[in-house]
Amino acid sequence: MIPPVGAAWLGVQLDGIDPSPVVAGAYLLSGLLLFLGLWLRTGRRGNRWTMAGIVTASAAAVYSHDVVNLPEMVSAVVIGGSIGLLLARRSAVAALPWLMVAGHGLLGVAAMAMAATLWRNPGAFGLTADDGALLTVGFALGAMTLAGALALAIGRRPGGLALIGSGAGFAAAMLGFAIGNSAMVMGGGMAGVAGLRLAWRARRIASRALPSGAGLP
Amino acid sequence: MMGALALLPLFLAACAGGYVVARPRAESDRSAWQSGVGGMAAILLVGTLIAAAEAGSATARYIALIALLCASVASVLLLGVPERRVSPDGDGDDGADA
Repeated sequence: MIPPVGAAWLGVQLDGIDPSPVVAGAYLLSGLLLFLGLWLRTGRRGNRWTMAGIVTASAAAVYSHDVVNLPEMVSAVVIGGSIGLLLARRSAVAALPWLMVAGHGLLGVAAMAMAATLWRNPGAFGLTADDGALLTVGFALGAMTLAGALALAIGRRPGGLALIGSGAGFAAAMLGFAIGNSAMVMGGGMAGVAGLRLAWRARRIASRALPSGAGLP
Repeated sequence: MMGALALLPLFLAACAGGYVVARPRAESDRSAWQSGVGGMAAILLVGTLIAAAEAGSATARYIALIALLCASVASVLLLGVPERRVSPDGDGDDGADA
């Protein structure tokens, strides 16, 4: 039987128990909002478009799945969100870049834990043996993101932020491929490539700023 | 794997969009950590929500809740920290608590 590629393209047939065009439309809208957030990234407004995209995709994900442990999930989100809000609001200005580094490190941990969950419970997500490669890559990218965040924190060099953001984005994209979630694939791909390009440009600018060596004593 | 292949065109389009949008912009006075690009990776929160919702065994559920907790902290940090108003010299802030 030929798979419904057109519908699968939008995540309709792949993601979740409820194959709904509303959910697929919400994921596409989320992708567009994330793109807008990246487009307007230099202003404060861009960050808010990104927030809107993530909230839209999260709402669609909760709506489209048969949630069995809602109280535990809400508790985890409220506790985690409170800790994050407290840190983001009350930390000193000098500590803010390090909070971003810590945030990326936590995303690496989350990617590793999510891959471990999928490994432990492949039947619930309809994973086949071939999807194990995607989970392995997602787990490895999460571990690399965590290692990169630790290296930046120990070396006191927050300049590599774009690169670890890229790692977290690609980890999200790989895990999105594994569970067939189009919002994760779009957001992760955009974050990954944008982070790589920004990191590459920052490296070039830094290398230009160094003296060439010619004429130095 | 068939599903992953079906999503490949969407991934490639997103990669192209990310490459085009991350073009150089000299006019920005915001530093790299303030730009909000880091918040994009917080889309991983969606995956952890799905993993926590669908986890069947007790072990998988606990691991998924740990993932959800970490992703929640990270999402609020990555999206909330760029919202802090910092003056160009780096010592001003609208966060009254800081």
